[in-house]
Amino acid sequence: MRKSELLVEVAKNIGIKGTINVPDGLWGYGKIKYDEGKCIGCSKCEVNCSEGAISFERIFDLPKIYEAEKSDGSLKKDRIVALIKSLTLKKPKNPINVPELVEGYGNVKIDLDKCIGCGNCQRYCTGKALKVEKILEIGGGN
Amino acid sequence: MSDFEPKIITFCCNYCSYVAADTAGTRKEHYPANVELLRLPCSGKVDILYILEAFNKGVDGVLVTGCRKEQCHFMEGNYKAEAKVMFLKDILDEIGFGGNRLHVQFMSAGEPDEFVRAVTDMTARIKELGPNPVENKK
Repeated sequence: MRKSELLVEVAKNIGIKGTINVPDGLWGYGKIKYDEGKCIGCSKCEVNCSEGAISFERIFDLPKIYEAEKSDGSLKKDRIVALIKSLTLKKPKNPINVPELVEGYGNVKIDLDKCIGCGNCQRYCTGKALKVEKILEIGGGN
Repeated sequence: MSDFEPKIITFCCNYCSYVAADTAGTRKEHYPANVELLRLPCSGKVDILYILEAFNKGVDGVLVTGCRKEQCHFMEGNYKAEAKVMFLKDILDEIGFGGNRLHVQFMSAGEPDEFVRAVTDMTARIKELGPNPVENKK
């Protein structure tokens, strides 16, 4: 069980409720928000995570990308999405494996159990797709 | 067979395949006029965006040519080109457009007949497949 989940359990037991903002200097509590639209697949987050909590997967989720709406420029692969849509004759059903030497396509998987909330991934992320949120929810939330 | 003349774009690398094409021209070898060459510094520079834009503009087939394995001027550009082309072929198959309109061919600078053969084969293959299946209103 994660350290923060243990803390939440104990806090609930003694009747504490609510959302707590974790101060900046305190590491280890919080969660990571990943915005897939901004990810450019550079895998710097994986390289710079000291705990090995982030893994870069070479999957191009074609059905999901096909359904993506172009909105406020947050989808980095806007032009590719538009071209794929204009060349489509039948809706894609399967994701595609990205070969080894092709850079810039893929997804990131985060294992929150290993995360210590150091913020390295957010610091090194090129596309600003990762955000460490220092919130601890006790009671009503997760 | 109808008199459909396909339009084929070739992304060729500056060092081997462009020289092969040039030599073929100097020797006055005959090859189909359906092909237009776009020279890149290395075949590894080709991106899936370039190929998708070409198909979007109505091109019927795309050929990517480069140096032979282990002979790339920039060491491993041709490996990257092949990986990108295979990746895009999967995508095109999945969306129903057809990955067989895209082909990658390696040749060395001293093989102009290989260039002629690649272009002739590609033209014949695309003639059989027919024109670009997507109606372009652009």
